[in-house]
Amino acid sequence: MILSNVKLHEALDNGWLVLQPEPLPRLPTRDHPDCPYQTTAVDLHLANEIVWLIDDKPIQIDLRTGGFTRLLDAREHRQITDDQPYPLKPRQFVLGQTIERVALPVSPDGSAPCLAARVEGRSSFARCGLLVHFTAPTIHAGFDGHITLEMCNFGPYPVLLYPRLAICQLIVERVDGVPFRNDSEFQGQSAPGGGAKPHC
Amino acid sequence: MTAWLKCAVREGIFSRESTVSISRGPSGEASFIVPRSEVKGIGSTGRVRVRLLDRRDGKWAVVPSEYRDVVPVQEEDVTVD
Repeated sequence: MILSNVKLHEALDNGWLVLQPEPLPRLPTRDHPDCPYQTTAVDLHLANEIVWLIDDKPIQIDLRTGGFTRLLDAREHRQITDDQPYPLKPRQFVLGQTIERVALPVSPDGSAPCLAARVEGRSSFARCGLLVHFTAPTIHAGFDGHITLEMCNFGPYPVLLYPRLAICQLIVERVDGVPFRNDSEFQGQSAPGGGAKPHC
Repeated sequence: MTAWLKCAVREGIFSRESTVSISRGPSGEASFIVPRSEVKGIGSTGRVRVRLLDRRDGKWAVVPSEYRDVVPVQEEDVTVD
């Protein structure tokens, strides 16, 4: 079940969803008419670092063995500013992150709703050829961090990436049931003390 | 209980991250991306801040990765503040 903007606000107020800093304003005002909340999503914004991979290294990535660590030998990065955006060329692939830290805490006793989320691009940017993720859009319950965006330009013209750009939207959904957590003291039991957990 | 777990530390993908590689004994090594603020040191003598769990089969550590991954640990690799 997708959360409406009203329910998103409730989730933020109750700590079931954490967005830090919180995208504002919650409602458009005359002074701030650009509201990041749509009916069932909230905009997240691009942080000021872009990472790309250089392709002149003799690297093969073995996905069986923590393949991402090989990328550390082939990465370049740059800070972007309002005066110096990053021009994402056609067919180029870069990584970015959201400014916002996103957290979907899981209540161990099921007393709070379990939430998960999806990252989606924005249709107006997609029309320019910008893809902001192309796999694993789901942010699972228990996540805590900044969302990494895999950005690629499929259009014919460079797209300028500026810091604080409303680059993607987060759609939050309610999870059915209480997931067990590998980082729980009680992993392997259905609840502290061994009893059945209440449903979310 | 929070503690410091022995690991190899190198840079992460982004500047605010570090990559930590942790030995899991016979299961080999695992690598995780964590906030830079949660590590100290660099190279093979680094340490990462973890939360310790005491389970029936021994001690485990919760790594400060996005999904709070868990790894089995040996007592000698852990330092409590």
